[in-house]
Amino acid sequence: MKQLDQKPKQPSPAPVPTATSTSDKEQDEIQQYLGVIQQTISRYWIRPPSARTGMVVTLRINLLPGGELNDVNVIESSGNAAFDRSAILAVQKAGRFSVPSDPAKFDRYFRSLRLRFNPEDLRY
Amino acid sequence: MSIFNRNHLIALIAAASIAGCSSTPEDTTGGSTAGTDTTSYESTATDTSAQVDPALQGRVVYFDFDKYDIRYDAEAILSAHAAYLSANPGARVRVEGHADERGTREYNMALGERRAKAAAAYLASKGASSSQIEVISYGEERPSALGHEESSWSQNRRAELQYTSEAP
Amino acid sequence: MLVRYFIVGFLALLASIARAELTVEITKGLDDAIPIAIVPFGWSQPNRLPEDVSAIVSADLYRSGQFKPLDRADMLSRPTEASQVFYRDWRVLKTEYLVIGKLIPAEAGRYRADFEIFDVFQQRSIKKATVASNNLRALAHAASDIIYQTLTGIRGAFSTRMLYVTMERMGPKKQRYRLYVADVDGYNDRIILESPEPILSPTWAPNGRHVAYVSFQSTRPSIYIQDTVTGRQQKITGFPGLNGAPSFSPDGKRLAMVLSKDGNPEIYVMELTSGRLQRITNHYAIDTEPTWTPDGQHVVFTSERGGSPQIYRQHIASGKVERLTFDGNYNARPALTPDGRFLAMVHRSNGVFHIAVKDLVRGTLNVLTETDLDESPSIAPNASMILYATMHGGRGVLSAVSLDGRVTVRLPSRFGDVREPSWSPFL
Repeated sequence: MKQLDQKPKQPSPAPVPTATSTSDKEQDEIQQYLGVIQQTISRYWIRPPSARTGMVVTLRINLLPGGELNDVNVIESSGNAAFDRSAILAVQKAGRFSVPSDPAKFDRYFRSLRLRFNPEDLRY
Repeated sequence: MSIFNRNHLIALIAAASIAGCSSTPEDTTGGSTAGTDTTSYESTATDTSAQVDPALQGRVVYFDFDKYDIRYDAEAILSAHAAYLSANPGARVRVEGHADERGTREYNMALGERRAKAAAAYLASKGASSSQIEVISYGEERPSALGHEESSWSQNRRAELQYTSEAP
Repeated sequence: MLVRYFIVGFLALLASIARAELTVEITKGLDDAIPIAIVPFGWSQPNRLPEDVSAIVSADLYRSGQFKPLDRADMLSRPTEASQVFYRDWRVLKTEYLVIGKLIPAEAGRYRADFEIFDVFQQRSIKKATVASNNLRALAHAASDIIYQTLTGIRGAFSTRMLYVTMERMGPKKQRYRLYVADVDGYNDRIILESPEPILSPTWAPNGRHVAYVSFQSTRPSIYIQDTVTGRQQKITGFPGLNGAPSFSPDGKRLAMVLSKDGNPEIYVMELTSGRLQRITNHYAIDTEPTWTPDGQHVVFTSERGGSPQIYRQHIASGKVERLTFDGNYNARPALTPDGRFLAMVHRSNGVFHIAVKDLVRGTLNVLTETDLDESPSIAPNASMILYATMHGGRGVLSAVSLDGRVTVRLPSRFGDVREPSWSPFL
């Protein structure tokens, strides 16, 4: 009955973050994990039509060893419930994240993460 | 539009407007006769008398895209009709302005009116009386050719002369 | 750099603090529709309902372009009350939201729908609502409005209507024009005017009941106002020359229009109670297609005073004029969003006519459509979509595009050429 032409745009892969300290191998490794987490969430984040450039929501996620999502909370709301929910949903749909297998590194950097959703690819 | 044409146009506006006003019948049934066949006039012109200017058989003049100035190739037709109107004070003509389908409908309605008025002004400048001429625009509503390409569009950017009394 | 990681005091803290909480910045997302499931609503009576309410809701949400309703055949269960909801059934299908409900016969032949919206991943109910109507389609659209508003933060516009004109060729040089009013999904269409002479530029009054248009029914163009409920038609103008492009002021008390009675096509404003006319523009160029700013203080219109059709805004009280469009040499038929921020128009680029939107705050112009001969943009009252006319298969059809250009939907087409859609206000 109706024809829907959608023009989906895939998020482009995140560039490999540049290390500020070339000697710090650990920082390099952690940044790579963060890059993968960023990409994973971007692939699930569907913004509502009320989303606008300049809206920001910050979440805290707690992960279990192995990368499974334990819980997610809003630290700072955007003021738009639909926008906040879209960010939470992106995290929950991802469900599991790539984290270092080394328990020390996991504990130190990945057990708890802040996610700041701040769209830069919207038209308005 | 040149100053020349605009001056003619302004001179003609009042007269054409009056003609338009006086010929506005209230048709409560919705009217069904205004869309008389236009292109067939050219082929059904039957006057074979020797002294008739053959240009008088032409009833349609064409315009360039988004333009309303009278083209060189329209002058012979309009001059012949101006001479006819001048010689036949009882003759009445309605100049219908049209646009092609490109662009917005109301803008094309205004463009069609500009074309009709330009043709009417030309007739008046060559001796027709303003009271013999009525103008109306159909915008893009009455295309002569139904295609969606330049060969159709160029046929549709036009002004048509429709005699309402004493046609040649 | 598009992706940034704020590694809070990373180097400094590394040595001193055991757990520095890292922040990941998410700046990109997916341009996709939200997966949702509208489970068939329960109905315990023996008779079959004349309309499939949940199918209408699914179609509404699908047509908005913002949602991707799950096919019924793919549903693993069909709960009709909260106790029957198993979130895992929906999570495995990556469905983000679930809507279930029941239809209940109400007094005087009316129906009631009690429904509930669930967030599948957070495993909780986010909204319980009830709608009632004697018309199941109206009831379904009311439910769609609530679901849309709950999930997007934007008021739904599914219970609104539209006007459009069709032109049918009955033979050489013989046409039939019809003015329709219909639900925005194309159903419940009704002819409110029919004529062999042109009908154009239909537009709604802010009261959602009266409409204005141009009709050549008297053989010359005149502006009429018609009551869509009683059908009563009133002739508003019949001046010599053009009588066109009517547009109601936001308070419904005035009608902007184009008249050429004084020689040139100029914008006028008529006070509807007194019939008093105020001339707004005075220029030898074509001025046409007026519309209003939401505050009712300005008229926005098309003018070729700069040598090509462009859009201008004129303050009515002071007469101060400002040009609004500068991209390309053809911008016409302005329409403003209710907040006044976005200006929709017909824009020509590379000889092709598209619908474009200019963000008047940022000054950027976005071309939204990819077809040709796109015209007559009309903005939804919630500014989510723009209804417009385009050509498909050599004839006029209606389409809708989202304000951000992400989604285009073609509306079901009827015979003949369909043109000049006009989206009603909220009803």
